[in-house]
Amino acid sequence: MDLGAAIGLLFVASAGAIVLGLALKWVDRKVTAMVQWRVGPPWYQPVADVAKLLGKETIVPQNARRTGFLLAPVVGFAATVVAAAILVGVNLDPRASFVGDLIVVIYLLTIPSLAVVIGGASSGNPHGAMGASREMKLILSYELPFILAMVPAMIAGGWTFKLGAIIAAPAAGSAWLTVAKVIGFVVALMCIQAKLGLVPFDIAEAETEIMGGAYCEYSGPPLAVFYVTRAMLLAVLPALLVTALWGGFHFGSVGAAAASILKFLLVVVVTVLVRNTNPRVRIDHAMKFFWFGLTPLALVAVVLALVGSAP
Amino acid sequence: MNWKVWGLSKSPWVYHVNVGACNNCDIEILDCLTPRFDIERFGMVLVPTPRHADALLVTGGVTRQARPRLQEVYRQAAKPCIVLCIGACACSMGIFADCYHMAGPPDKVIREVDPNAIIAYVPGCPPKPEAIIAGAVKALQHTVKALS
Amino acid sequence: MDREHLVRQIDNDLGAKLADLAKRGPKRVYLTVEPQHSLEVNRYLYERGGRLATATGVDCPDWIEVCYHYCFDALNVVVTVKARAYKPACELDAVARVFPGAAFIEREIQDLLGVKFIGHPDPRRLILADDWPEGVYPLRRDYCHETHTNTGRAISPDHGRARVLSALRRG
Repeated sequence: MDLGAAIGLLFVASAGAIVLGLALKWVDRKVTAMVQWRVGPPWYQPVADVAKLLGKETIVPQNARRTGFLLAPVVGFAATVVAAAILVGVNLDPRASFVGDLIVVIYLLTIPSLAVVIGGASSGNPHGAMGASREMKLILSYELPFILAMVPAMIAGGWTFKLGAIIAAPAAGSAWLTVAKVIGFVVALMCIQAKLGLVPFDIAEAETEIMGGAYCEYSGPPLAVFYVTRAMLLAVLPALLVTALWGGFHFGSVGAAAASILKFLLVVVVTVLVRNTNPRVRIDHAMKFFWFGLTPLALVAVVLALVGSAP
Repeated sequence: MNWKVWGLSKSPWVYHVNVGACNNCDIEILDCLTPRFDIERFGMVLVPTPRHADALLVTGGVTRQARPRLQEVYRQAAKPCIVLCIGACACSMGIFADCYHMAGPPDKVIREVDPNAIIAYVPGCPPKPEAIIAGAVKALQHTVKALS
Repeated sequence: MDREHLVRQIDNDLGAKLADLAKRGPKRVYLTVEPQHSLEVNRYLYERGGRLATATGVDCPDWIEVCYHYCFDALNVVVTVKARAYKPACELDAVARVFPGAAFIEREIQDLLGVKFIGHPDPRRLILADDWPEGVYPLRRDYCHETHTNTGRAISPDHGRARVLSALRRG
């Protein structure tokens, strides 16, 4: 596609992801409140949070590395915007997908977590360093099962790296519900719980234990950018899950559109419910869970997919 | 009112500082977060660091040890940041007024650093959660008027 | 073993070292000791199973009395050792030498009443502020508040009385 259309797509996708992300952040807080028998904040709460953060002063600590400290949130935001744009483009028109775009999206979605690591490490604060090191260990733990969980989708799409082909595969005849895909879906669901920094895996940002971890020294607009990035991830990651492992978004007919939206909301609500019913785990427990629990499970899914696709 | 002030009034993030309290006021503040009183309705969230705070909930009269630390916490909070003094000891040192270990009420200690600080007082020993919520809401309304 | 048995044992083993042994009430026994025997009596009670609940200090005219309260939970008895630290030196042997549980409370008494505990394993300041002047003990009766406070208010020793009188005059 040409440059104008690409920039237009970036703009539309980022605006849509921000709006959808902030709305889903409200859904998160409202469902949390309902689970805890509370009333919860009004629907415009995340917008008010962002507006307030944009009005506060930006403090850069004396010991901090200024460039890394201020660039980290922007880099995370930019990567999420591009990933959102790719997902929107592919779902609107599966033929516009290019070879390897699934890999590109997965790669881009590691960057927000890396931005948290860089931000925390540049803070000049031991809490920031603590948060950065924990987030690094988490990234090393959950990236492998996440990628392995995508393999059944790639195999089902006909041994392809194109998201467009993966979306089109069920219509082209391959089964949309296989054991391998279901296992992959469950594994990926746990992995995005960690990617989103939600309990039980919000170890890097543990409020009560390490004073906000990597976000400890952030205030004002940089914190607003981090906040918006996390909101966008709340929209983009479930969208990736639905796109790759649950048939994608189809807006052809009303029924298909309703089904797509329901699938997406179900993933979000499951994430929120897991967040509200579990305690935070220790970093070594989390690493053991990902390396010795989810990775073997994902390998089982890959093997089943390979077996299932063998002619 | 402009959108920044609107945001501040609808989403005040609070940071709790205990500078010498007996913990009764701290327990009442914690009660405010429970489902019965639920201050998250007003957008209030307990944050882990003063940098994220829009309101410092100060409990207790300031002891000599805590005085430089309270001033440092106030300086490190990202402005605009208001101060809510919760409890009789935070309003005026209470029954510890003439004690050897006190360095003053929190408002005097903070005004040494910032004479224009917006400080609200919620008296009580301890104040009921309803009183804390009423004080916080009044303080926010005053802040909106002062900043507009 | 019951209270009477314990009191008899204490009397037999330590009788010579005690200045006084008093039973006041069904659950309380008070042993008064001179400073040179304080450590030995404390060690005796600790080794018989007494649990040091806390220690308190009283500023008396010629000495500071440090009371160690030992609970014998199985016997439902509290035995208090009243050790005198004579002024102006106010020195006692540190019971923290015998067991570490007494360390903090002795540091607190040292800060607030100025009793010097000889042989204490860690005699640092515990609860007074770092900028509190040395040699000023706030819980002594001769402590003068107006000299040692930085609240910035000028108050006199009979500040409270002056306030009440002026309130009465105002009617």
